[in-house]
Amino acid sequence: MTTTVDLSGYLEDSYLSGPYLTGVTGAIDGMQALMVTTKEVGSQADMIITKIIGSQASMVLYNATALRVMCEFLSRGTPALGGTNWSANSQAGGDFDINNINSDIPEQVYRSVTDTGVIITSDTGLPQGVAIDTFAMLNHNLTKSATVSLQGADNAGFAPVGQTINITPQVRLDDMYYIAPTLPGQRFRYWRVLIDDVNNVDGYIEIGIVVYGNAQIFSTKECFENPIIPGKRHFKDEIPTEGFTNIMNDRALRKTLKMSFLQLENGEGNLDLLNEIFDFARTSLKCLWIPTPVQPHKYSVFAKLVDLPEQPTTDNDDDGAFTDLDIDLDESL
Amino acid sequence: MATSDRRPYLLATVLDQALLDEMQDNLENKLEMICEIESPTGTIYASDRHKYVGTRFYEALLNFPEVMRTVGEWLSGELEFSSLTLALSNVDGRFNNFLPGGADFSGWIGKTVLVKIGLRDVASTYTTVFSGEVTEIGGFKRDKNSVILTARDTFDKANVTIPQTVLTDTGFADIEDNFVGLGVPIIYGDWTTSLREFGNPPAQKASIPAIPTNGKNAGVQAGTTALSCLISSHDLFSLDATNVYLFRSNIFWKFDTADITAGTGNRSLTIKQDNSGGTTVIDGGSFRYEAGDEIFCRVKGKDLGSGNIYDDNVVWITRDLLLSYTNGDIVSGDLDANWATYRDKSTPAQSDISTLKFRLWRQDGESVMKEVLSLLEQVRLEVFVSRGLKLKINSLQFEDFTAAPSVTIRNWDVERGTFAPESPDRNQFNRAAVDYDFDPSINENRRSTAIKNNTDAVNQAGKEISKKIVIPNMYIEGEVNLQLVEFIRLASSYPEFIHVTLTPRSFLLDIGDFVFVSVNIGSTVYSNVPCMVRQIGYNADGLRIPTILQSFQMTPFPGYEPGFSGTVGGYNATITTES
Repeated sequence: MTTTVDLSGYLEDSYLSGPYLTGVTGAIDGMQALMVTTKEVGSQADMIITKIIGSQASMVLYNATALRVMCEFLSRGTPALGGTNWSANSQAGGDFDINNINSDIPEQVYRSVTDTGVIITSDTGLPQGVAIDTFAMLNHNLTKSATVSLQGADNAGFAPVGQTINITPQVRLDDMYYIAPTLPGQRFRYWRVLIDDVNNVDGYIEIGIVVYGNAQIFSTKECFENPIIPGKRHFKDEIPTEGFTNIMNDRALRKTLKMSFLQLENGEGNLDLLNEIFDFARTSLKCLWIPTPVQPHKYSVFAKLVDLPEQPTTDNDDDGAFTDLDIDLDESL
Repeated sequence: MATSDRRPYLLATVLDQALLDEMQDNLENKLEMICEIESPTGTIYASDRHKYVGTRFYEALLNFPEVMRTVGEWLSGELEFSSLTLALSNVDGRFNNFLPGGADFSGWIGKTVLVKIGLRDVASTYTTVFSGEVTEIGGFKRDKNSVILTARDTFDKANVTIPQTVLTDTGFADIEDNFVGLGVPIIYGDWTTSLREFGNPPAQKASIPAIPTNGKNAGVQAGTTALSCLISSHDLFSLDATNVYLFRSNIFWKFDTADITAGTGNRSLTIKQDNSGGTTVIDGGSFRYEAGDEIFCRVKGKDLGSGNIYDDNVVWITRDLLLSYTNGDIVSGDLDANWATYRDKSTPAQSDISTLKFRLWRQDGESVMKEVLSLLEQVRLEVFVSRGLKLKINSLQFEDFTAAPSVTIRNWDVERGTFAPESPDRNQFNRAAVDYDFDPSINENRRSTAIKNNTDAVNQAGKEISKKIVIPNMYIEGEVNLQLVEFIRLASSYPEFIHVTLTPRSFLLDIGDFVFVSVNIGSTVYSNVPCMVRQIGYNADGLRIPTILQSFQMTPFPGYEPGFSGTVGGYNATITTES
């Protein structure tokens, strides 16, 4: 059992001391407490355990507003499952296998044979389950009137369904996102997506990529600078003619994104988070970048880093070090 | 013309000229290339982009080279088969199991490679533009990032050497050494008429060699065993046993008919000698074979069926060569339907293929394709690999030219900077004669026509530009002269060849197709000039169409009378016989 204690208003310096927090843990003896900050300013809290029997404390700072990046996709299952951890109750013949959604290639799609009652089910392979804070479905063909639900369960039969999350298709129709508004507490090994799109003119559901899991989340203390620079690259072959008009052979349209960060404080988490991403993904792995989780479709990209940015740092000795860096992302790489 | 749909290719399901025109009008198209490569365990489906065609996914694993098809140069006797080299990305090691040392390696030689072009993901619109096999020499290579395959057109493997059988002392234990290694001849057409005349008074003898195959036999040398002779590697329609000759000491001696026995299928014959019942008298004595003797006979060549009406038809002879001597790699389905059309063509007289007489005797090794091209070009026909990947006949006979093509090339159909007319280095002449009627008995073309010229062209050039044309397989003088006139009419009109890269609107063009060229590029002005496509290619970068067009701007043909001053050649040019 968990109890959520709202400490907003108390996360001021003068209150962030042992006696006040001692009162909080005492009031919920033997329970797990979740501390939720609704402050936009980065928060830090000290936890003191007054009970020594059967207590475990963990502190998680979660927000649904700051930049988040997902590099590891628990949706793809453990290595033991071999990347074939998805199943579908409707699948078209040919190269439209459901496990196509486990690739980084959005053009390689899953396709159903019907546009209603489609259920795609995944097994994360993790006995302890996954609590989803970030979910994305990219390069889909759903209409705005489609209904999409995300369900979790402890067993493959989904009996019972442990959790249901309704997802609304966004205004921009090719990508769909779900951002957990609060730190998700329920972990399930099995997750499935239920789709109904009776108005779909294609007569089938088509999905390029599905990723879900736990993103790495910037604290609200620091953010990217304005302007953030989304862009698009049009790939085409071009033939200039003697008629002084060019004939094009259209190839693809890909998104780009540039973000600048100024004065990231060394040792305060966000810079470390970025460096962890650089070390893991480098310029070779695609990650899901969501700069504005409140409106995830605005700037989100599923892209690689164009390069590993230089990190000019102002080192003020005991007064701390502060780093600037620019991130350049490109979906076409 | 375009409609309000700015991207008609998004919904189209048929790739036709109307769609290509509409895409051009909107300055955007969606023609794409895919590749299917046979691997040891299945097929690799690849493209230069991730895409579906129908239900099949093609992964972006390579960049396409240019794919070309050509009919070659007129009178060159060469058919250039296309080849291409593909570099399959193996940067992630996905094909390591197919490489030497890999679990599924079984060699790449002979693996098929198909390249197709079509619209978007509509499978029915995809056309195979290249079908080939990985070559045995240099066909497979690898580097740290890729597997590199080189493939040649499938028809190239059919380019075998004929004859396919040779005389050996294994097959003929008593054959004389000077005959070992010679090809066993292939024979078509009528070798019973229009033969070399010899003797006094001159009389037609025989031209087809009958090769002694047991000259070292003791019995033959003693005259007690009949002399065996081989004529051809296949059955013949007939052997004229009344006209078999011995050529000795520069004299033809006719064998008595009773001494001649035809072998099975008339492929061979035996000749009785003095001590084996022979009655032939040679120079006052009975016949006994001597080293150096030559035997000649009259035959009618291979029976091509259909009541023998096509046995000396050049189109049907070449067809039979392809079907019989390519080890089954070319079958009738690989030949376009227009082979039958040209077989039966009967007008005008100079192009009356149905009655023009041809004959062939082939003993020295030659590629079958070269033989076919050589035969056909003697009546101004050519062979090429069509869009449908069939062997098809292209005609340089004036009456077959298209005076009103449906496609016009304009400035906006031409890639900037690629329009380049040029005059050919060869085959421009205004005066010619023909050596014709190859005679196997003397191993050379026996006769020559009178020299003919286009006097207007000579006067215009200020000089005679002469050429000796060889038409070895025709033997009727009047028919040969008709061809000579046509050759001069064509060559004296100073053809131009235009190297130009076209936009994808020209994707459906094929070799032999006619187009109008109406461009105004710098000082180059063409106004509705009929041109024939001689070479066409496909470049994946934009789906450019590099072509070579033969311009007939100065070449009148039926329905096209340009009326330019200085027009001296063409179908109605006056050709004069020099005295």
